[in-house]
Amino acid sequence: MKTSFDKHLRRDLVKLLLMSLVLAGATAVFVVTPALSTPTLLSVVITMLMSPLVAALERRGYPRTLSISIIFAAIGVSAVLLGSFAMQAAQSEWDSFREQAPNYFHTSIRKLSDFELFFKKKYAFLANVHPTESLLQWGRETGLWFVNKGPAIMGELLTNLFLAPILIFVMLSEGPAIRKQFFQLVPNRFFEVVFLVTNEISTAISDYIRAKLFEAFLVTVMTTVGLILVKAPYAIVLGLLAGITNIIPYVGPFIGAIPGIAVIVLDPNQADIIWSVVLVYLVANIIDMALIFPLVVAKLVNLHPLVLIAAVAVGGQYYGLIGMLISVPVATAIKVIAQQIYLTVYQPAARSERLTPPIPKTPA
Amino acid sequence: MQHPHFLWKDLFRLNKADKTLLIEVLKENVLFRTLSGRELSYLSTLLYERVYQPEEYVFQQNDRGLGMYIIAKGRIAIKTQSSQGDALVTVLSEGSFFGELALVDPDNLRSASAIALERTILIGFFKPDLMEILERKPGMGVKILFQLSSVIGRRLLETTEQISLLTRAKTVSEIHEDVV
Repeated sequence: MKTSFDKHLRRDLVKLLLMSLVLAGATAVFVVTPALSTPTLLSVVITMLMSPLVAALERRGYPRTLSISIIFAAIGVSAVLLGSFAMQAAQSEWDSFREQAPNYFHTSIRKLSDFELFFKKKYAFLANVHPTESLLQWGRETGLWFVNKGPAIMGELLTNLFLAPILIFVMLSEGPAIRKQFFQLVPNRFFEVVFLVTNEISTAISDYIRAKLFEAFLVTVMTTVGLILVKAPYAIVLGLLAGITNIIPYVGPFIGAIPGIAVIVLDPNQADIIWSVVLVYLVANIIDMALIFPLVVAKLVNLHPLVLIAAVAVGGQYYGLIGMLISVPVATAIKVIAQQIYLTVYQPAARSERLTPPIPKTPA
Repeated sequence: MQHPHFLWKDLFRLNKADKTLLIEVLKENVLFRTLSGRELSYLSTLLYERVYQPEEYVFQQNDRGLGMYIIAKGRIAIKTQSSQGDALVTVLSEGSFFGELALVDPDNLRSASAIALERTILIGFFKPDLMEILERKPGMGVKILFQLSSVIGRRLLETTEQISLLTRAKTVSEIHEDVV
């Protein structure tokens, strides 16, 4: 049996090599070409989100291409309608913020200088530390960077906006065919294992992305409503920021609360609502941690909290914010692969033990 | 020298003639007999064609299984291995299918090994794709599941009859031994 098993080894190794080359080549192209990888990653995420909607329409008997077209049309119309309403609301907030921003900036610099002077008078060893000057320098450099890179960033954004819908349409309509072409490269002896692992990984990751975006949406709604109720300024923008940053596990909620609290702290007219704003963020995050996360996200991720914290820490350490964002899906993928290796190695042995019946004792 | 079809044919495979052939094979199969032309066409986009060389294993006993295979061309031997040695269970030819238990068995472990006896083309249908059909086209999924349960039911009935025959034969031989 061993001879026949190894008879096709050379051919399988060639296929395996070809598969690895294709994967490595695709990864290399993606790594060195952000213009390609950014819209592709964005499209993969949106495709995962739209896939259940396509399935829902297909269940009603619509062909796949028509289902995708209907969803595209619906999203387009909603984006135009909602966008125009939201733009009007956000525009007034943005205009006000733009007017107030220099005041906020000057107030923060003045307060920081006061602090610096106070501490320098008290502690002489701080004489050579210049935090205000460093902050101003950083601000100037960042401003310059935006001025220099602004057109390029805008160009990239427009390219993404143009490419993403095309890629999403292709992924939704041709997804199964692309998957089939990939599996043709997998050698026969690894075919079922690779099929199982990739399928479980893609299910786990798409479930996680859907759950996290649903969670972000709920946090956005809760924070926005809360901020409107306490009559805080820029409620929609700050609520949206809280929702977006909430996608980053563990530290996201704190990052999301910083702009809201900073705006209130820096505005002397809003001093009376500072604690109400803190309470809004606190309540939104308590509801998120106590209800939404355990009921929606944790059930799907199925990773130990310690593993989650470690994954986020490692991701943050090596790849910063992006690393924190992708840490949980990557940890989930590693878990699925490890689980499949364990089951492949140990389950057959366990089953043969289970299926071997004990020898019945002969009645005396 | 043999043409390396495994590299090129597999990469650029699905032309119209191949698809028609695939649908013809599916139409003949008991599991998909009740599906309409459109459903068969949709099903063909979810199936995987695999080419096996003589003596190549499709899967081995106790491997984790994911789905069933239909023989489009060639022959497959089904064998079991135990401490008493290997036993040939059956040889399947074109149109037959095997491994269908993996579509419904939560343990997903193969109860026998399948080996190609000649160059064989198999069409694979796997559990995640069955689940996708159930999610996207429940009516079609129910048709497949109904046919699948009839096949499993019929095989269970045949196995029960075989066991009854063996038990009866054993009882007769025990009585014979007692008498002798």
